[in-house]
Amino acid sequence: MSRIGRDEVEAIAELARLTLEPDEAERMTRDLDQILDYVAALQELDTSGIEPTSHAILLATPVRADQAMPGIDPETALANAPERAGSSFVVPRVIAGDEEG
Amino acid sequence: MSDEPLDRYEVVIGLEVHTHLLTESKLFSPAPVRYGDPPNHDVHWIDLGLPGVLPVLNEKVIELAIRLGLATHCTVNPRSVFARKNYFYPDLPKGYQISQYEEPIVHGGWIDVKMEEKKGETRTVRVGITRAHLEEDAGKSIHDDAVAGPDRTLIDLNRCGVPLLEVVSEPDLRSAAEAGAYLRALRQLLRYLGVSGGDMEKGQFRCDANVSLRPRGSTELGTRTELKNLNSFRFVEGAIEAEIERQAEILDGGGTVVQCTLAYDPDTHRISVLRVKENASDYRYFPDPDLIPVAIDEAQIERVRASLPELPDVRRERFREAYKLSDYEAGLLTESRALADFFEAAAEAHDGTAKTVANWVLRDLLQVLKDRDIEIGGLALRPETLAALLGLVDRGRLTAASARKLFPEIAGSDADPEALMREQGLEAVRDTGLIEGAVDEALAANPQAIEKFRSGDAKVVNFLMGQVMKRMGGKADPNAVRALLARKLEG
Repeated sequence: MSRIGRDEVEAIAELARLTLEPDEAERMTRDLDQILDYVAALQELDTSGIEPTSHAILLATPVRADQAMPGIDPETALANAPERAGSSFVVPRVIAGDEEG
Repeated sequence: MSDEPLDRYEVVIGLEVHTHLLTESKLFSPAPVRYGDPPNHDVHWIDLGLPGVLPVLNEKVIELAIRLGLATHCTVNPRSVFARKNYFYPDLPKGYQISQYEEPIVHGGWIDVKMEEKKGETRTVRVGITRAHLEEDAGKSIHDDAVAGPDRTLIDLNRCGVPLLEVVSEPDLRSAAEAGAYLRALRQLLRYLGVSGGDMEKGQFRCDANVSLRPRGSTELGTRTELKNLNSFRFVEGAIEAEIERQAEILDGGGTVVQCTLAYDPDTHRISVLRVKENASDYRYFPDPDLIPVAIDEAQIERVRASLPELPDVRRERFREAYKLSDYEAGLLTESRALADFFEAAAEAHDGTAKTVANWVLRDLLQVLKDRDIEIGGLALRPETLAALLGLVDRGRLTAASARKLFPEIAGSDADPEALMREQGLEAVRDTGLIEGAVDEALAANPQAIEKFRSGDAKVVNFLMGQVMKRMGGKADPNAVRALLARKLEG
């Protein structure tokens, strides 16, 4: 029984902006299926009544005071930019308005 | 079939508001929150999403979220969790937005919104607050050909990481006007509480609207669409109206509404489809391993509760009663906390009626603010100075007309009203001999007015007052003029 299908692998690749060749998608599906199969052993544990754990540390998150420090030097910030215009990063055009908030 | 879509359909609207929190620094980085700086001058390694950086939560945002939560009758969750919302866009270098998903910081409250009906009548709409959660803002993309060049987009990350509170309402709104009124009430509340500046032009208060229609009488919800990035009250109302028409047309033709994300063009009043909505699971939310849950205890909630200011609705009611104002006047005066504070301090410092102070604030003061395009905080005028000016008028030392002449200068410089009155020679003439001369002249020149008075027209006194004032260059003590006129007319 397979735990993941080719369609699902392609959907995830799309969300991750990865282009998979057909043979890569094939191999990826097989690999992921084996990985999922391996970790499925965990499912045998009875975890009903146990709160989901997302952190092993049982503390509350540390906080800092609301004090601003100057931003880093824009030249440093832009040092690795493949392309820049003034102090802006330049990227290939993405569809206008397709923004999250 | 009737012509108006809302005769046939009921519209169901829920709003999501993204509001910038009033902090010095960002949500997870120490970079400053500033507006109008050159691109990428207010960024830190954390905002750039460079490898190895770790977010550290700004403690101020917790207090601000609790403030709004308490003011909207929400439950403050003792534990809330930051989650990663994964999507790829160049203005979000990490590839995910840190937000809250299953466990937001506050949930389950309401706001009562006053709708102005016919003159003097109001109706209250209770709008449920589903939740409010903390998240970071993204940077800005500039797609403009003229600025970026063709096929290119400029990225400015100054806004990236600015703390946002997303306030999600229940689908309790039933018209564009109700949506607008809710937004105004929420923005007013955020500003009162000092939670957000709420400046829409700076993007500090942005709205997405979920809109669906259903046949009148139906209780099932129709398919909803989401209008994105509505950045003024007028656009929100315009966009919702346009979307109601669009959906009604589809439903009238027997079609089905497709769930999608829409943009509104206020210039053409047209709706366009941005994209067909990704499912929530496509964001692959999961708890952020870099951040441990936020714990809030009862003591902290109580500390915040004790620091809450009087809320606008309560203050409006108190102003109406304590200062004998109309509901309308009280509403205008409590529009912002700064204006309400100013009025209240001036009314306390003034010996006469609060109504006089209200009139001056609502007429002359608001006019000055409008002329200079500033808010009251930008004015030198102190409430005690306004009270001193009105005191001169009350005591007949300055006519109301002269006071109004002096007001713009006093408002700008907080100059001493009495000194300025002397300097400009505007002190009211109280020399009875001089005033009597002007009264006699005015009466002699207007025998028909005397006739009118004697045949019972008492209002003609106002006309004669004007005639005397004209002869006195507007500077006679009006109380003295009135007394003299009365004596001569009746004698």
